[in-house]
Amino acid sequence: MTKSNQTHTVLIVEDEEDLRELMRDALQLRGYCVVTADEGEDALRKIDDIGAPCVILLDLLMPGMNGWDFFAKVRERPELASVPVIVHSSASSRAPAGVTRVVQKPLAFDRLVSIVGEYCHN
Amino acid sequence: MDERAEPSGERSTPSSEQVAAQRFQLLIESVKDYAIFILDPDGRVSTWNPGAERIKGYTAAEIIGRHFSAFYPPETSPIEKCAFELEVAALEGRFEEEGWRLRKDGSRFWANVTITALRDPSGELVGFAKVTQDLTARRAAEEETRRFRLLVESVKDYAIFILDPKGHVSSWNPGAQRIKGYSSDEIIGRHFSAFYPPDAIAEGKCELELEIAIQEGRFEEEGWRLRKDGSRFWANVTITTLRDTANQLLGFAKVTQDLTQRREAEASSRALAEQRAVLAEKVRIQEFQERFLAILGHDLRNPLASIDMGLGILREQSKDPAAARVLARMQSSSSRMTRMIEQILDLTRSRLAGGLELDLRVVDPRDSLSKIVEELRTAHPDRTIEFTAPMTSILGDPDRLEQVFSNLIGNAILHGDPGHPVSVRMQVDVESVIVTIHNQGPPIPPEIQARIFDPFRRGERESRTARTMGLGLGLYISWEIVRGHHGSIDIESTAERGTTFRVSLPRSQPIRS
Repeated sequence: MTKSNQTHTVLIVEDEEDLRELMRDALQLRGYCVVTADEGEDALRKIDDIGAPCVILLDLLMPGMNGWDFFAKVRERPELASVPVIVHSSASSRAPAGVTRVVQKPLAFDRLVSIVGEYCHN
Repeated sequence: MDERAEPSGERSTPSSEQVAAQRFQLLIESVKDYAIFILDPDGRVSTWNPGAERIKGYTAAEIIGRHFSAFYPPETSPIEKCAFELEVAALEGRFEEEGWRLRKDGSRFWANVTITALRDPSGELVGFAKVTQDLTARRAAEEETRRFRLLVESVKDYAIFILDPKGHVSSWNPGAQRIKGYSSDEIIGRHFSAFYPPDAIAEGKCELELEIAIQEGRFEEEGWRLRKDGSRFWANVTITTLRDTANQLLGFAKVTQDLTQRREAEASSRALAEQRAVLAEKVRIQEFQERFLAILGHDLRNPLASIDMGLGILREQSKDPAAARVLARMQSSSSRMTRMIEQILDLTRSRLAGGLELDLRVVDPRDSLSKIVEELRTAHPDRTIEFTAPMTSILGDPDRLEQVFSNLIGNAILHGDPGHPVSVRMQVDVESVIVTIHNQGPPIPPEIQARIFDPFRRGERESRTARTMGLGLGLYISWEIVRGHHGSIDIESTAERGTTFRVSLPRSQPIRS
């Protein structure tokens, strides 16, 4: 199996490059495998490559495919049905129904690693 | 005439009769406006004057000796008509009529014709004097007047009438009756001020309008006028002076049009345009607000998220205590910036976007209170917070209620006397849940109490609150949140009794639309 071990691969979908790369650094520092995408279409392609991640950290407001459309696509796919999706957004009050959890930006380092830790083994 | 036929070769002193006859002949010869000539008893032309030549176009040589039926149009049966006219003249001494006659060139003119029988002293008919006047121009003018009168009489959409020089109505048309409601019997002779509202009359408007018309030849305006029944109509009014050829003022022609419907249509289309403009402005403001909120909520928070994240990573990796202190300061500033953005966002939503959004559900406010009390006890281990609350339920937004309690209890800790506990009590009665937060310590001055829930309170920029907590928006936002729950916040602050904030939340409340 060429796909990475889904038990500790975190998928970050975030259009803001600084934040996306710092989140990657933070999680890698704690031993997670991290894959990133800057919008929904890109994220779906990454999932095709790596298989189901252990958790998806999802921004909502993004150019290209936004977080709402991406979440709808994810939930249409049976193999992704059980993947936790954590909305991490400044528009958290508008998160789509059915997401696993909603956290308001900005998310500090400690809280990010603690939340991800609830869903993934590092 | 016979005298003319006589040879006048003898140079003798003319008799007075001859002088008179010569003068008369001169007169006839000089008259240009009348054709004056003599017919013999059979109706043949026997004399001709310049007026006849001018009017009828024949020279004397061309016409003398010809029958006067030459002047009559064919359809009048000239021979019979001429015979009739001469017969009447012979019998009655005189025949007069107006009718069409022919010029030499075949063109017609409207003639006043008088034929007078000429008899010698014995009564013998010696001929006829015929005087013809060309009345074509007068007839045309009369015809024009007649047509114009017909026109005025048939116009229904305009009041067209005449005022005498003093402004009294002297003619009236059906349009005037229709628009103003008066019949001609009712209005002719009355002053035209009858058509004006009392305030306009008092201002001397009628006199002014006539004065302007006299000065400038014309006055025009749009304005309110009165109908007979007292109702108003919006009129376009033109007053034109009427003068005779000697420039003497004869009166005024007044034309009035009822534009009420047009004015109403214009007013409603103007109102519609204004509504559209207002709507467009609202949409523009709404778009601006949404953009502003997006900038606040999204564009400013994303870089802060990066800073927080970066600080976390560096803290994790740094073993240097000095660097850790710097990073802690940076973290504190970043957190403060985050809080200020949250507050500005709340202020903007409450002020611009129609209020704070509340996610109302059935909650026990005790849960929110105890969570905040626990957090603050952890954050301030040296302080005592007394807390008592029974179980209850209200319709509320738990996150927003936590925000209120955090703000009020946090303030009590910040401003209260550290030697005294902060007390947080919740009481429940039939209609409301009342949370009182009390601290001992210096009271809040009355002038600050009066505007303590205002945003950006002046005079407190230098205070500890402003420096540590942010923008002085906390109480304002708390108040907005409680107001969104249809509740209220009171304050009581004295040196003896300390400071108490009292939040009242209704147990049942109308659902916000």
